[in-house]
Amino acid sequence: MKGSSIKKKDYLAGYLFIAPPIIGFMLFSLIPIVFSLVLSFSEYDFFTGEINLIGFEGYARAIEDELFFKSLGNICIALGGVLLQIAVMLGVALLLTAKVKGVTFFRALFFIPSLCSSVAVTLVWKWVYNYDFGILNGLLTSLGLDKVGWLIDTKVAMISMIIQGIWMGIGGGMVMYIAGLKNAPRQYYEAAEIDGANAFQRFFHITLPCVSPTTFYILVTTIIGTVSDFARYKLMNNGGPDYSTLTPVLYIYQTAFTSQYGYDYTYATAMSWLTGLFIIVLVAATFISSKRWVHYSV
Amino acid sequence: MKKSIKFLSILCSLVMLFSVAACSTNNGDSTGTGGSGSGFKYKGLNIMDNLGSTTGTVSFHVGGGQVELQLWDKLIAGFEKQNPGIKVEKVTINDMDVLYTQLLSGTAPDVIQMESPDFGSWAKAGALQSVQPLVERDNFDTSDYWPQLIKMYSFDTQAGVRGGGDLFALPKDMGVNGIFVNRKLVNAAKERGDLTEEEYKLVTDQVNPMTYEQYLNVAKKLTILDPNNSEYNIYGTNRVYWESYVWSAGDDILTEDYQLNTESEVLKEVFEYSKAMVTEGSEDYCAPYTPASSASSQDEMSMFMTDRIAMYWSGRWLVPNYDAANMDYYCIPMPVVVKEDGTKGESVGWFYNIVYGVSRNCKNGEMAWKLIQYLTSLEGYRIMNELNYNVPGRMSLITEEAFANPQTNGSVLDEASANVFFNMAKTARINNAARLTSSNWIETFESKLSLYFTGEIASYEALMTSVSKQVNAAIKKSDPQLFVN
Repeated sequence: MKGSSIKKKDYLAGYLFIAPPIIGFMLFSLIPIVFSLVLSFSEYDFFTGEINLIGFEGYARAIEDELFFKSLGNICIALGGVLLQIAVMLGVALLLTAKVKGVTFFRALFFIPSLCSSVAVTLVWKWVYNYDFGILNGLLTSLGLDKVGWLIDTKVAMISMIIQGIWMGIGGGMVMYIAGLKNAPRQYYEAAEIDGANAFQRFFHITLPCVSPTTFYILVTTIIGTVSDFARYKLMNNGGPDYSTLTPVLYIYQTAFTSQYGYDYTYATAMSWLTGLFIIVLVAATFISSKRWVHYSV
Repeated sequence: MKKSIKFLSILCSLVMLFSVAACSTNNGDSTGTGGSGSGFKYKGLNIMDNLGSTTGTVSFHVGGGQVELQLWDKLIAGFEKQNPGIKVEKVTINDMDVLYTQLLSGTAPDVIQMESPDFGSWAKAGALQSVQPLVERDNFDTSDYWPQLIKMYSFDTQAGVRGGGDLFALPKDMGVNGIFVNRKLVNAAKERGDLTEEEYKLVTDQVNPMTYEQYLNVAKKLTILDPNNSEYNIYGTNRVYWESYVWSAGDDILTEDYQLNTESEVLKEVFEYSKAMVTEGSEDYCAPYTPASSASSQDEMSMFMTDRIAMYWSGRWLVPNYDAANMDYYCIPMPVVVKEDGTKGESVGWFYNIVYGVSRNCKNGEMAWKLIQYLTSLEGYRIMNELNYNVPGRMSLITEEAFANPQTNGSVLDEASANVFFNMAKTARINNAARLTSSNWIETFESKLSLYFTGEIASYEALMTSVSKQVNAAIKKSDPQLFVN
């Protein structure tokens, strides 16, 4: 009897300890998530409280919405850049694990962009990309080449965003790769060298499998980060030119919070859920495929 | 795995539940019906039911930087001195999206400030309370305010369209545009001999506007381009406001029945004129190409402030920025079109401003109305003018020394330049982005127009073909009431 009372007290203490995060999660995440799900199936007048359930109308509208599809297409292009970004991270990490003088300085140098505010960095890159006075076009013209409309050409604008994204995102992944590379068992390399494996063979058959858990983690977080990236796209070009850098998150924001689309909250929630679903599918596909290429016990 | 299946089942059930509920409750009439047969049902509140007490506390939405915030304090102190029984609670909000979220949740301040494009959708949604009943009760005289402002901040609650009907808001200012000229660059061009005496007279004439042809010629003369080193480039102008050209010619981008004016020869003329200005290699190349967006206008402003653009089309509200940078500038009116019969059109630009309105959740209508009256009184505008920010909302003030000569307030803007903006205010029309309930139609148009300027859309005809359906659909979607007979 006494023991049971002590157990209950223990449980109570346990519940009290976990209560703050649970209540916080309920208030600021779960309830808004459920409310947004309800909104996505309705036309809700916030002022009068009238709710008109419309079923999948909002979702059907999104599926027929050319701009929403364009924004999804744009983000797919940006996702293509994720693989390039990971390759660059790994490449830089490989260089910075070499035993050379000043390697700590270079590691810090590559990590700095990750520490900077994305707003500040984007404003700097706006000038880097400026057609008339940007440093990139200055370089091109000094080499006798034509200027590039980094931010004004619809075919180039998204590539410009990817380049800036890579530059900004290298640091975090690079640090993780350096840690992963340092943990790669030395004996594998020694055995491979004895067997006569060249550098490429060692890289593809030892290094890549050894850092595959790190790659998996970076891939998942970068996919989520890329689809939900907002500030850079808003500041750099606000989705232009001609919607070529419009992303789903930016379009959702414009729909819900600007006069451009008449503050259409309920439609924005339907698009939010579809975008969420898009992320879930991508991440699930990555998880499923990971069984083939991620090696936890190399 | 089993848990995931269970979760998915619950989710699917929820979705099914909503779908079934939708079938039973959706009558397909989401907007309701109005008495006018417009299909619009106004859901706003009557301020006479929310007058509340004549004493107590009224909340007031303010925004801006440190200097502006200090001015709000001064205005509030002035109001409280005049109305000893009323206290003003200052609520600082700098983002319109935050303000709208507060409106939706019923927690917005009593008196709010909103920008031109937001007014239409907010009034239509019932987020504001009309001050018209109080204007009528108090015989409040609105004749001293710029008439365009009174018209554009009125909303017809029967028809569901802006630009007439009940007054909902009074102006904080009259935000008009003009051409800012970098005196250093113009004088240097004259000294180099690039500008003739005649051209110099044209670009320094603050009363008589140039024609668009003369403007282009002067802009070209002010342009210095080094193909091998763009670091030293100076552009004669930024891209002209095509609306000004079209309105000066007596035409418009929309037809009278709110369709894109695809037949307009003037539109074709101005887009070709503008394209030639921004196209490298063109004989008329004299302006940097930047797409029409707020982000790009900041780029242009930086170029003007660092002596890279000689004549800069921009808003009167940017004067404090140029003053802070100690720029030597003056202003000239926007050019005019010479019509086929040889007569000149008027110099015309657009306005974009901020207005004071009463939020839907306000229960202090009486005090809110008093505060708005004070903010838009002669005294209110005089205090606000310390910022040198804009043309005042009342016409009678423009002859007062502090308004007529901003240099008395420490600005670089001289008397003649200030007068340029007063004249521009007389003819100004509402910005296209604020003309209808939503700005999507013009954003869509500008988006495609940018492709025409960069050459991705080859011809004017192709531009109009590619965009007219989308623009017309966007107008119909945001303002279906305009199409009711």
